[in-house]
This record gives sequence, C-alpha cells and structure tokens, in this order.
Amino acid sequence: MVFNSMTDALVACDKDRLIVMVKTALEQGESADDILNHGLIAGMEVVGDRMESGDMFIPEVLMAAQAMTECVEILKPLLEETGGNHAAAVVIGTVKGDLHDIGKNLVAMMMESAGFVVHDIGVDIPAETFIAAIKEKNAKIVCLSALLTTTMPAMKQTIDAISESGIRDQVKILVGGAPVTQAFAETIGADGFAADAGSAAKLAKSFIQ
Amino acid sequence: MNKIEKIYQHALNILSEVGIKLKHLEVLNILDENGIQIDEETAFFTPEQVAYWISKAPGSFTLYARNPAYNIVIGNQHRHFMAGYGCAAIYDKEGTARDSLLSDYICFARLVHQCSHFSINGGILAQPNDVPAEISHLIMTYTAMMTSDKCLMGIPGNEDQVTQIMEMAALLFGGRSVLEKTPRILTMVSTISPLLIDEMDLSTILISARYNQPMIMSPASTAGTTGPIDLAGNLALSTAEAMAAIVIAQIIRPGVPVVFGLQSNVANLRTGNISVGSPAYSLQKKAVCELARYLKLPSRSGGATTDSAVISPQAGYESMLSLMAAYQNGVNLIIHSAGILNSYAAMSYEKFMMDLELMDMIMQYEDGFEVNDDTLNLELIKSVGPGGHFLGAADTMRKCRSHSRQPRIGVRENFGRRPPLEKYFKNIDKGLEQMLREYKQPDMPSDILRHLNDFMAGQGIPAPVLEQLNHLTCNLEDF
Ligand code: B1M
Repeated sequence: MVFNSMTDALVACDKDRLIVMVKTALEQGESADDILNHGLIAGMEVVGDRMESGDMFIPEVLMAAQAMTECVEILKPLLEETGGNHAAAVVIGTVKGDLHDIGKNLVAMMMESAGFVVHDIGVDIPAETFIAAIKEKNAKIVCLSALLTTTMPAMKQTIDAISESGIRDQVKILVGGAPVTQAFAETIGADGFAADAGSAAKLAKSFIQ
Repeated sequence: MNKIEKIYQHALNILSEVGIKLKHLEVLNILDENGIQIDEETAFFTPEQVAYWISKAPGSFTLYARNPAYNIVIGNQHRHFMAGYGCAAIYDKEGTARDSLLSDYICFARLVHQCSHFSINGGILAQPNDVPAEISHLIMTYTAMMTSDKCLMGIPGNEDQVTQIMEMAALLFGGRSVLEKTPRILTMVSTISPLLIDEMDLSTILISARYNQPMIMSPASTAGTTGPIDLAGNLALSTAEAMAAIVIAQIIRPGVPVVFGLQSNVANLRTGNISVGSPAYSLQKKAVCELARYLKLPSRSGGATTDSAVISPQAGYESMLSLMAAYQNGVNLIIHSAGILNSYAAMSYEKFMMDLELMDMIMQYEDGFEVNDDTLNLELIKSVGPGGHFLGAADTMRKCRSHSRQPRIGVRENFGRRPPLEKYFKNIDKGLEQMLREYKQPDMPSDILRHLNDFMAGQGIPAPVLEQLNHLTCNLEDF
C-alpha cells in the first residue's frame, strides 16, 4: 500500500511528499531494501513506461528521478549497514570525437532510476578513460553512446581496447545512439544494443539478474 | 526597446556576464592579445567589443561560382535555397533507413546541379558511409567540384582538413591570392549549446578566416534541452553564440564575410529530440531575420523541415510552413530546403522532389499577379457576355500554358480508379529519372583537373579511385 503511494508521488514528481513517505515507512519498520526495491525502483519503472508511451514528458521524468535520488540518499546509510546496497556500477559516456549528450544523459538517468550506481564520464571520451573508469568504479556495465556515423568506429576501438586491457570479462558492454543498430552492435562485439533509454535500463537489468 | 533590441541586449549580457567556453588554445591567445577577457577557457566580451567587431563584417557579399552565371549575392533582399545537409542515412518511400553512400552524394550533387532553384552545391549533401571518415571531406569536395560549376559549400573539420579543402578551392579558382580576394567556398560552423565552441569548429573559423572565405555561424540551441524553454531566452542564447563566433572570425580577419545563421530549435519534450516541423521553430526564423537585419548581417535558417520520418501529409504541411516562413520573412540562405526528413536525421529522394514542388509553389505565390488593362480586359468580358464561358476565348487559349502552371509531381487529374498516391509516386520517379538522365557534367579545364588530381594523390588518394569516382553512375534503380 505504502509502496503504491510512492509510485503515485513519483509519477506526480512530488519530492516533498515522497520524502515524507520514505521517512514514515522507515519509522513504521519497513526495511530500506524493500523501500528501495518495491517503492522507489518499482515506481520508477512505471515512470519509465509512461515516458516510453509519451504520457510523461522528459523534464517530468527528470524531476521524478531527482526525487528518487534524494530518497536514496536517505536510505544509503541503512542500506550499507544491512549490506543491502549491492547496486551494480555503470560507466557511461559518449565516445571519442562525439559531443552529442542529450540521449546519453537520458540513458544515465534511466539507469540510475533502475537502481544502478551510474558514473557519467561525459562526452568525447577516449578508450583509455573508459578503461580507467571501469577499473576505478569496478563497473559491471559500460554504456557507449555515439550519434555520428563518423564516430561509430570509435565504439569498436573502445571495445577492442577494453578487451586488450584484459577486463573484457568483467563488464557487459552496451551501445546505443541514433545511427547504431543491433547488427552493428553484434559486429563490433558489444553485448547488447538499446534503441532508447528505457530499454537500455531494462537490458542492463537483465544482465545483472 | 522593441523585442529584437531586448533579445540583443540580453545576448550581450550573456557574453559579458556568463561568457563562452572556447576549446582552442591558439584562438584563446589571439583573443587575449586583442583585449578580450579570458578566464581559463572562457572568453568574456564587452558590449563595445561585440559591436565594434561585428561592424567589421560586410552586410552582404557575392559568392563566386566557377561558372559566373551562378554567382549570387548573399544578404539584403536576396533569398537562396540550399539542399539538405549533414545526413548519414537515406530513407525510402516507406521510411526504411539505409546508410548513405558515395553514389548518393553524387546523385544529390547532380540533382542540385540540375535544378534552377539552387545556386550552391556541395558540402555534406549526404555522408558517404562507404568512404573512410578521415578522407570523406576530400572525396565529397572533389566530387562536388567535378559534378557542378555552381557555388560551393565547404565542410567543417580540423585545421588540416579545412586547409586541404581551402587548398583545393585555391587550385580550382586560380591560386591562394585569388581565392583570398573573393568569397568562393562557404562553410557552416556549429556551436555546442549552451555557450561552448569546440576545437573542430574553432579550427574551421581560424582556417576559413585566414583564407578570407565566408562562414555561416549556426548555433542550434534547442528550447527546453540545450537552451531555455522560452523562445526569447533561447533566441538570445543562440544570438550570443553566433555573435561570439562572428567576433572571433573578425578578430582573425577583419572583414571576412559571415552569415548570422541561427538554427534555433525547439525540443519535443516527450523524447528530448528536436522538433523542426513545429510552428515554434518557424516563429524563431522570423526573429532570426529581424535580428540579422538589426545587426546588418546576412541571415540563414532551415527550409523544408519536418519531424515526419516518411513522405506523408505531416511531412507536406510541416515542410510547407517551415519553407514558407523562411521565404516570406526574407531569410537569405535557406538551408535544408530539399530532401530532409525526420528532424535532420535522413535524406530522401522522394522528399527532395516534393520539396522542389514546394519551392515552385512558393515562388509562384511570391510572383503575385499584375493588374493592368491587358489583365483586366473589358473587351474580353464584353465578348463572352453574361452566361457564356471563357474556356473557348482566344485570350484563354493564348495564355493557357503560361497561366495554368502544372505541378511538377502533384496529381490533379483524379479521374479513373487508379489510387492517387500511386500516380504521385510515379511522377516523383519520373521526375528524378528525367533530371538524372538530362544531367551533363560541366567541363573542367584540363590543367585544373590535373592539379586537383595531383593534390588528391598527394593526400594518398590514388588516380584509379578518382577515375572510378568520375565514372560512378547514379541509376536510382540500383538502390
Ligand atoms: C547503452 O548505451 C546507449 C543506449 C541507448 C542510447 C545511447 C547509449 N545513446 C543514445 N541512446 C538512445 O537513447 C536515447 C534516448 O531515448 C536516444 O538518443 P538520441 O541521441 O538518439 O536522441 C536524443 C534524445 C535526441 N537527439 C539528439 O539530441 C540529436 C539531434 C540532432 C538534431 C543533433 C543535435 C541536437 C546536435 N548536433 Co548533430 N545532431 C544530429 C541529430 C539529428 C537527429 N534528429 O537525430 C546529428 C546526429 N548531428 C549531425 C552532425 C553532422 C553534427 N552534429 C553536431 C553538433 C550538434 C549540436 C551541438 C548542434 C547538437 C548536440 C547537442 C548536445 N548537447 O547533444 C556536429 C558534431 C559535433 C560533434 N563532434 O559531436 C555536426 C558534425 C555538425 C552539424 N551538422 O550540426 C548529423 C550526423 C550525421 C552523421 N554523419 O552521422 C545529424 C544526423 C544531423 C544532421 N543531419 O546534420 C537513443 O539513440
């Protein structure tokens, strides 16, 4: 019941109400883990679906995501105490030579809302920076974005470099961006392709579960 | 203060208070030497500096073509259409996508050459995915030069790439010193909104200005994503970015021709993508023209733009609104006037033909009609008299071909049972086929050709590749 109302508050982008709900739920003895999974992440799934169907606009989804982030901050110390915080780390960036970031930012937001710890390392990112971030953050998933056909080869270079650095088995590599296709993803040896932000988050989850 | 003055003032405040980030050390040093305040990578311009340097730019200029018949004046009351630009995909009639290829580039260059609506050819008519990206600027420029003797569009790039294009233009037009005296190759510069210009675009400004070649400064801040959601704020942001780019160009080479080319968009906030079929986009074009006139600079905006991914009623009405808004408001350079679909994501041959028809219609509309004794013609009305008809009148017979202009592809004869759309697409195919069949390559003087080929060889592109290039056909049946 309380979890359903959290979904309502998220869909309404009502941060203040959500924070009160999370605090009340904790007082009433709900575990931080349950609040995160059955309240916030489940709520953001509904938000994601509504974004996909066009019922929620992107700025509203961003507001909902911000509200969720603030609540996660409240839950964090408790999650760490109980060892419940086993969210996988995701590294995301736009490949070398490419400065488009609107789509990548949306993917990062949906990943975060799906419960991942997202490290957005920005645009125009060379392979070495991706590799360093994977190592530093102990990432389980890497997302590469490219919007230009002329920078699509940089996706392959990045994947090759990750393989050469010996950490290929440690990560799942997902790719996306308007000119990228499933077939291209397969040719360059990526583990998956997503056409939009919602499906990117779903795909990432399927790899972790 | 009127609306335009307010937007301009706001843009000045943005440049003096927030500044603009410039990812190019040499450019930052040049600005520093010229008294512009630099804080790390951010440049701050005072209103006086902006006004002083912008006043150095010409209010209009002539762009010279290899064939002088195609020389055009850019600015004042002149309006020119240009084809779609930048796409790496081709959509077919059903909206199915495929990669664009060199053969598409050649086809579009020939279509542009054939069509009297265009005086400018080249640029990125379609990105050839079958050519390595590192040399595609050379291949596209060479192809444009060989295919057409109209004015030329350049391609932005790093310093080496833009220098190579400028050197090719120098070979084509009689040497660097001749090139520097006359505007010959027009390059589009994009900013990264909000308030950043990357190394590639600053390199493009640096080299184009050094060769004294014109540039279109084209920020595309998008209301709601890369710009404020209110159109006034978004326009001011784009204006600030364009003015910064123009000031930089003028400092490097005072007097170099520039176009005030705001491509201010609006976002579709359901997806985060841009929306260029929307009235809000067309509304901003109107302001672009007014701002350009206020700054005494030529203007640029988008043309037959649509958010539809396929030829459809939506593609038709959105493109018409957008192209008409650009033309009627007096945009000097109307880029993306033919072939573009899906918010700049793809080119389409069918859309190209459809857009030619839009241009025909708009120009006919703009021609208006004459009112004089001949066109009023009382004798004619007397001779027909009440209850008669004009179909059989000699006057009608004499003028029936000139006055009853037939659409290029539109279907008006809806008799019989054939599905009207079938006829429409048949007309498109016929029109395309005819334009390509009638294409004749303009002569290229043999000494210039030799120089160009030597230059290409020097860049590692062997003669057989060029030979092949010159023999590539563009039979649309092949696609
Ligand atoms: C797992 O990992 C994943 C999974 C899914 C992923 C993913 C990663 N990344 C994305 N996804 C997916 O999820 C997202 C959300 O659902 C989706 O992301 P998208 O990014 O596809 O969608 C966004 C929500 C909205 N879409 C966008 O934001 C892109 C829109 C268009 C119009 C576009 C924009 C806005 C811009 N641009 Co650029 N731009 C175009 C675009 C044309 C178009 N309609 O696509 C395109 C891509 N640009 C192009 C070009 C050529 C360029 N652009 C350039 C610059 C710019 C702006 C700065 C003006 C601006 C970018 C602003 C910014 N901060 O990102 C220049 C290059 C700069 C550089 N080095 O990167 C420049 C070279 C110059 C120019 N012509 O403007 C063309 C590419 C052609 C080609 N060769 O491939 C282009 C098709 C337009 C055109 N016809 O010229 C999915 O793809």
